[in-house]
Amino acid sequence: MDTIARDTTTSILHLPDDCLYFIFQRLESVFDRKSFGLTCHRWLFIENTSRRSLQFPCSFRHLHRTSLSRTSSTVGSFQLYTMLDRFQHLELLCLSGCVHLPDSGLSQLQYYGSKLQTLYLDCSDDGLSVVASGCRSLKCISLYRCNVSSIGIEALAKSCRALEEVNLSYCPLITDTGIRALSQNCHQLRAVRISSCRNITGVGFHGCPRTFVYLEADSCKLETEGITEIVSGGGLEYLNISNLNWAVPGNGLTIVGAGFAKRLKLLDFRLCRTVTDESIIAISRGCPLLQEWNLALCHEVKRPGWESIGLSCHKLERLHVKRCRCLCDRGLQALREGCRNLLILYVTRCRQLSDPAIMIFKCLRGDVKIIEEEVMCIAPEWAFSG
Amino acid sequence: MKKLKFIGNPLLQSREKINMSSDKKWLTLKTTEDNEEFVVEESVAIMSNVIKNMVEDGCASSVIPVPRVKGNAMGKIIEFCKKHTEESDEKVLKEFDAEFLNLGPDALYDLMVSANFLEIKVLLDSVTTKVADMIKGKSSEEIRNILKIENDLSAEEIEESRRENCWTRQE
Repeated sequence: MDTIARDTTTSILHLPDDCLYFIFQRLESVFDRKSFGLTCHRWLFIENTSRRSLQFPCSFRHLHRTSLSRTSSTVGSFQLYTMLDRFQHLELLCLSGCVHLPDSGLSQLQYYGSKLQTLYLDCSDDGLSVVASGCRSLKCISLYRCNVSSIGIEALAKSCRALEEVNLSYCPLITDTGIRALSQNCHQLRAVRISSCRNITGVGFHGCPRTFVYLEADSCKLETEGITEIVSGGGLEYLNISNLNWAVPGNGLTIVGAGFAKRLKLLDFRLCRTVTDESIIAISRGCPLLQEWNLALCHEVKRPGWESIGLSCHKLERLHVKRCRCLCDRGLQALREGCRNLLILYVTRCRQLSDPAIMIFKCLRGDVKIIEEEVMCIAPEWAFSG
Repeated sequence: MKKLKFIGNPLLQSREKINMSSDKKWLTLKTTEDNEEFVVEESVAIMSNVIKNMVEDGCASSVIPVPRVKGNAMGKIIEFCKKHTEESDEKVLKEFDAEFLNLGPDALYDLMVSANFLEIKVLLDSVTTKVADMIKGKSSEEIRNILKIENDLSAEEIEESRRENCWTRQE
């Protein structure tokens, strides 16, 4: 048992490792942590084993002024190996932007990746299958702009069943097959991003779990059956299908209000130029928890649609109606007389709205803030950790 | 003869003796290294998670033996816990802690080890912060000088480590 000797000076080295870890954790600055590590072997060990996340200056994830001015220190297989060997308790690793790292370099993750929970990659299917076999504890993965196809996603989904968050934005090769693999193997799936994935129709979301709450699917070519499957899990709270391709006929979105999406709180239909009143009415009745709805540039929404929103969207707090060609004074009146919980109305350049109508709105609904600046993204902070 | 310490105002000792038989529960903690005994209120003693668990599990008898902690450290710990139980004003507690931790490194390390062993989070947090403050802003060499740590890293190892540090992003 370690007793502190009374006849010699007590040294900090007599402290057990536990205490040294506590002290290390109190050091917040990079400078202090590195000084700690370079003091002696034991403290270097504590620094190395305390490190939970690793990013390289070239990573896209957070742009930092130092990374912009730094001459590109290329991250290759050797650098990665050295880092993984030194920091063996990593939970987050960011390799996105490491363009000099070949897929073969990722093979080291088979030995060192078992504790990783969050991974940002820049790879193809080969790299992904290696990652899949080595990093079975993965909860969050980003394959932003990667050259991966459904084959890679299938391998990933079958191996990393604890996956909760998947970012597949701008991965043009992925199809519904890959999405299906995720929906059916990852029972904790929570958040998915498929922005600009033009080969996904949405049918792959068939069988998605109730834990699936967040979908970012802007600029996609979804189909009506796809929309049906997307809401089928019953747990969706945030849905972004802005800039939806014209393949979905206007009333194809009616299914969102059919009862499966009862928990929807935020809905982004920006630039869904064909969404009809029928869909609006169904959704305003079928999604009672709706708090924010972006209908900017939804030119087909007319008076019946606005009246339905006023009448049925009791919890609506923020509504975006910028440049809606068919929002007329009567429509605005309906919103004014309904939507008791409205806090913010984003409105500008609506051709059919007259100035007096807007003045009346401001007078009678002083509780609602009118904002003219356009908001492009209504994604909540809680949705995606990465 | 064993020393029996009452933690409290000596002028109120007689009143405390009367109170001992009323609603407040009292525990006796005995440091086994030097056989010092401390009588404390249960509400103060259970700031230690270890003692709290013993009390909740019903294992605490009238005298609780406490190994590894010396008498003078125990006394200081009880003083700390008592203050933190009685006082709720954050500002007052902060001033108290600053004064309380105005100790030499030896005493600080003793306190840290004891607080860790007894699982007293508030005390452990305060002491580790104080020790960390001693290190902040200092280079490795300065840390070694102040804390009398021998440098067992070779020049090569230091250089390698520095080079690797440059590869990673500043977080």
